[in-house]
Amino acid sequence: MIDQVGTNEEHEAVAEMLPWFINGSLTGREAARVETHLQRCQDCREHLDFLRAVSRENVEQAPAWQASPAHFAGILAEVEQLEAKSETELSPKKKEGLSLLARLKRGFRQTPTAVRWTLATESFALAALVIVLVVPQLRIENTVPGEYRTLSDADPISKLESSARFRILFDHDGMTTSDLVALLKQVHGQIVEGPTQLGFFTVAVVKNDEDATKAILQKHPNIRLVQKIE
Amino acid sequence: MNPANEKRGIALIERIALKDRKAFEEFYYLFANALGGYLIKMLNHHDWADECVNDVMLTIWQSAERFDAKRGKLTTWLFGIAHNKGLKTLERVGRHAKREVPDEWVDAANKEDDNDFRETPTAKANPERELISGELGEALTWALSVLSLEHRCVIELCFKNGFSYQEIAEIMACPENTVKTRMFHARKRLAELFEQRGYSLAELTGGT
Repeated sequence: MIDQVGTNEEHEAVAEMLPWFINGSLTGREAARVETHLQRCQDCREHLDFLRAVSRENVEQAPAWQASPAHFAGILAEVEQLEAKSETELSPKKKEGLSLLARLKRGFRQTPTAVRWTLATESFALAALVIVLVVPQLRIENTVPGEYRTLSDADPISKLESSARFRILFDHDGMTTSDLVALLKQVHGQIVEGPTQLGFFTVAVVKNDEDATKAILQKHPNIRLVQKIE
Repeated sequence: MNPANEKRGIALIERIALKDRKAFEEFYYLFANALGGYLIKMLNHHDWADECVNDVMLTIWQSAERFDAKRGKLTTWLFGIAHNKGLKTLERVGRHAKREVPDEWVDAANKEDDNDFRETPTAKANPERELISGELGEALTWALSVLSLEHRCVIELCFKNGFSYQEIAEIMACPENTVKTRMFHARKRLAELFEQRGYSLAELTGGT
């Protein structure tokens, strides 16, 4: 007498799972479902007993095939032939490259995803740091110094203790750059400070020529004021 | 499949990818018996099974670096290769495996039809009966051997090798429901064949 519980669908579903209930590969939920059904289904219990006997006979059967050193030697001989063939087909450089590439690929595949992302972020940060630190230095080192210098740059005349200094107010409307350059050459002078808020410049000249220089400066049509700095 | 073998196998396959012969040899001794046993049940021919094991091992040597443990178990991958090699061998030889039973039984048993089984000749007409002892194990061995290819494979993968139905689906490249259906019909067919040989289910199950 067969005692079945549940729908036919449930019975069929459980009946299909019996072999894997025997080999222990069902999930916990599936196994519980089978156990519940078996408690009330004689048909499935009989099927289970039969499958257990099949399984037992199947497992207990003597091994049908045995590995052996002779068999492996044959396989290894074929492997060596394969390797020898691929060696002759590849150039040494290509082989080395492929081997390294193969290792890199395998290493990359085996690395966990989180680690890959961490490494990528760290590499990017390192590259950015190198760019920020090294590139400006390279640019500075490779630049040809410009000819531009500020008024505060040290110059030979202003450094001399024997230089005299004059405070000068130029006529900005009348004095051109070329006039100024010509004047400074004439007096052997250099602008060392200025302009101040009032427009004064300080010109340093060689001390020996200070009187002659003062005279030249005072006579210049585009100089409004000359004052010797004591 | 033994989880320890799975773990050891993964360690070895990584070394095989680097062309480590020693690891390859260890791998052979770890898995070849299971692969050979499955292929012999599938092909029912020792030489063909030998050849297939060769082919599987060569494939492992050439493709070791393609195995990715994140995508599935090593043993599932291995047996998938073995199953495929077995099918190709059968295609190559042009017919199903030679058996020690009459051809008419071979044709009937290997008909690829899950829903319609033809009965094999009765036990009385079986010229092989005198060779079969009264032992239940031998009767069952015989019954297993005359099942169709797919049914033999499912039984072997489930009981001998302990694969889940999901893993068997992957190995045999078919849907999970197909695996369950094949097993269901294999069980029914086995019971029929067993009874044809004059044994009752009660004898097989020990009267439970």
